[in-house]
Amino acid sequence: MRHILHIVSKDLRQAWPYGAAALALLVVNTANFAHVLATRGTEQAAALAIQLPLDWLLAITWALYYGVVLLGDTIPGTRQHWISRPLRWQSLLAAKLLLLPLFALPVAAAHLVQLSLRGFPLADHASPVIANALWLVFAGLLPVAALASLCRNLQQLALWILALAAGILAVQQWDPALPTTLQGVVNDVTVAAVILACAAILLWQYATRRTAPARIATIALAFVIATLPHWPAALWRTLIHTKDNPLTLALSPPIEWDGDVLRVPLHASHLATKSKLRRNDWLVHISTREVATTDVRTVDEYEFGQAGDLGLSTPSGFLTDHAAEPVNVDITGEFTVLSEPRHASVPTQGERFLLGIGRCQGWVDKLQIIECQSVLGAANRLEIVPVWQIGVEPNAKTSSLASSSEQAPLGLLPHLHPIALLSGDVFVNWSAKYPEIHLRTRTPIAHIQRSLQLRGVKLVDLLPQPKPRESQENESSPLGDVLKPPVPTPTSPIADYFSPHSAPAKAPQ
Amino acid sequence: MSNHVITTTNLGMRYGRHTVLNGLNLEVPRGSVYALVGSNGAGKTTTLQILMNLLRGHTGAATVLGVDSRHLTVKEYARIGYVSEGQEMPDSMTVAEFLAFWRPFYPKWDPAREQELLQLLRLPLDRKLKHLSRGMRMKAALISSLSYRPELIVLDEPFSGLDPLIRDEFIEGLLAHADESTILISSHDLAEIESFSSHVGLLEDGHMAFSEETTTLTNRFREIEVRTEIAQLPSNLPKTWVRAETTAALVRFVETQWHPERTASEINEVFPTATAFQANAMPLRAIFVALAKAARKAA
Repeated sequence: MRHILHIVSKDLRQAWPYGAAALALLVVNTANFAHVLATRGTEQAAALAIQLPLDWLLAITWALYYGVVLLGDTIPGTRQHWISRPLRWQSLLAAKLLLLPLFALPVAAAHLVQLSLRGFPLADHASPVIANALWLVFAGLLPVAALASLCRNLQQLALWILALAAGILAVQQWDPALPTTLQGVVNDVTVAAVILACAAILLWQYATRRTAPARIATIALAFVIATLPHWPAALWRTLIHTKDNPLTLALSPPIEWDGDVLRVPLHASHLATKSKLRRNDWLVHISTREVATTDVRTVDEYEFGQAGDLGLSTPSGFLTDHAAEPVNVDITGEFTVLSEPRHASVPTQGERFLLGIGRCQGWVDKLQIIECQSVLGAANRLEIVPVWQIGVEPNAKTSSLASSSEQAPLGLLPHLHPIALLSGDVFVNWSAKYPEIHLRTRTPIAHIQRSLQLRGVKLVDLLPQPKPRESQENESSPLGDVLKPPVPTPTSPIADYFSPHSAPAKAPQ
Repeated sequence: MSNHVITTTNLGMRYGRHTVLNGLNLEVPRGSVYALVGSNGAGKTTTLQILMNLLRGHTGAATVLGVDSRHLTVKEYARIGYVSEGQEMPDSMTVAEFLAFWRPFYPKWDPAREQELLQLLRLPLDRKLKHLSRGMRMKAALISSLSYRPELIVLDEPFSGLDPLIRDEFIEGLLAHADESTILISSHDLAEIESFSSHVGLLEDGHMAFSEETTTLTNRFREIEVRTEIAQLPSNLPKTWVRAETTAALVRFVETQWHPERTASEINEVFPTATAFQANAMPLRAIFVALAKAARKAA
């Protein structure tokens, strides 16, 4: 361990100019993010316009920094000063990998700053944000590490990255045409395959330094991974042992709310007579009167509860949740569930399939909230999966919220953004079909409105905020002015999108 | 304890279809300064890299410090100092940082010896390696490889491209602090090697042409000049004579097994009309050149 830290120390000292540049860009990026939040109109548009280039520049700078560190002790070749020394390859590799958590710290700090600017309490979100940053750094830089282990210098590394990127882009031009239900699984598999391949290349190279076969294997693996989305859907279904027995669910207003129970009319088609949905520690049994083929029809009442036989068949046609724990249900639109669901039901995606390799679940609610983030940047699309919190006691609700924050599947995808933490504190029911946003959060609603920039959209606070807390948070916010409720701006670039496409849903009582 | 620090047995290596080493047998005695010489492409660097486990031989075996070279561990590397020509150094480090980096890896690192070497080789501690000349970089590598009193020092073409002054300083530093070590040095700079090597081995076409003590080698080689009137060389020359040639009234050849009485007897037998002959001692360089040319001619 002493030797590992010694190497880490050497690496940090030797590559400090690159590290300083990466940190400076991180600060600039965060400052620009704050600027986006604090401004309006053309100034905000200008800040938004440079956000994406800044993000790319930041990623490239971190990759360059790590590349320089790795190439400080190059693997290919026979004339390096270190290779005939009493230096274990395990120590060298561990030292290089140990830098990744170090790199994640400033990234996490930047995300926490962004989060605080949005008005979220840091104490509740520190651990998921750190986990997210760790994942971001590992998933982003592990491929750089693998490629650097094949290269003798930065020029070679740049060439390898460009060549592989060009090859992957070329393969992606070929439309995969996978069903939506499989795309999540394929994405998970792709991410897992990239990580496993990178880990294998790294281990091989550091242990054997046999570069020629490693380079050939890298090209072959890159080709295989790039073509994963193009494998036939039938093959994927065989691989993940699923039957093509789709269930289509859809919500339609009105939603009923009596304070304790949320009832959501649920329509289904292609529903198997008996279906099980497993996600988190929850097991949901769905049973229907009959298997429909094409019709959309009302199905039985479903009850969600803790693991066990929670199936309930009362043909009232409502989704009912009595649980104190948070329940995540994707009801933003029609979606498909397989009879042995792994990817269609929000929480089950990839869970079993990727068991044992880090549980790389791709949670639909996260993904859709990520799309919410893309709205903030590009105002193209917004689909947020609603997350209902049902509880009786206010304390229980708070507990649920906190629990939800912790359980919120943050940090599992490399491109997650802190906005995903919305799933912990803000519960949104919004889609093109249901252009009404229902929020229940400890964060003052104005903060959320501000952070989401939802102007011209009706906000319904499901749970009235305790006023003293709200005022206290407003006072303690470092961005008091910023967090004032915004004046609706009809010319907002995203205002049109937020305009209702259909009649608003009835707000829960 | 084996009397040989390095041993190779029928070592073979090829790059594609090109055979570099072809049944190489090498023994480096403990405490010797062994010069591995050979023309460019003879396989010297390949041999050393196999010994250091930087390459894998295709056939045969090699042991270093009693361990199969393919299984060298940090324990053995801590007893070996390896400096190669054109060694890739961490350019952004200063000399001081470079030495400080390696210090913790060697339990036997001797700071006093490090200081002695620094003074002897006059290396600026605060200078970055990328700002040092080739010779100075070699010196830095040498200091980092001698400061822990290695049992075995392996030098691959260390004098290549060094000016005479730096070369002298390098050799001085090497010899002054390698009294307890075995040194294996590959080079084609025979003039320098002759001055301090105790053993020499000639690598030719991937195998060892000869390997013996330097003094024995220089004692058995002589350049002979015979005064005699012959039109052309006879065909019955002894096999120990190489590079025989004749000019007007003079025959020259290299005797590879010089023995005053036997050689004189053979000269009288081959050249009955010989009036006189002279035997000149040969420097290592001349011996190497004579053998190389003879081998080329035979080929």
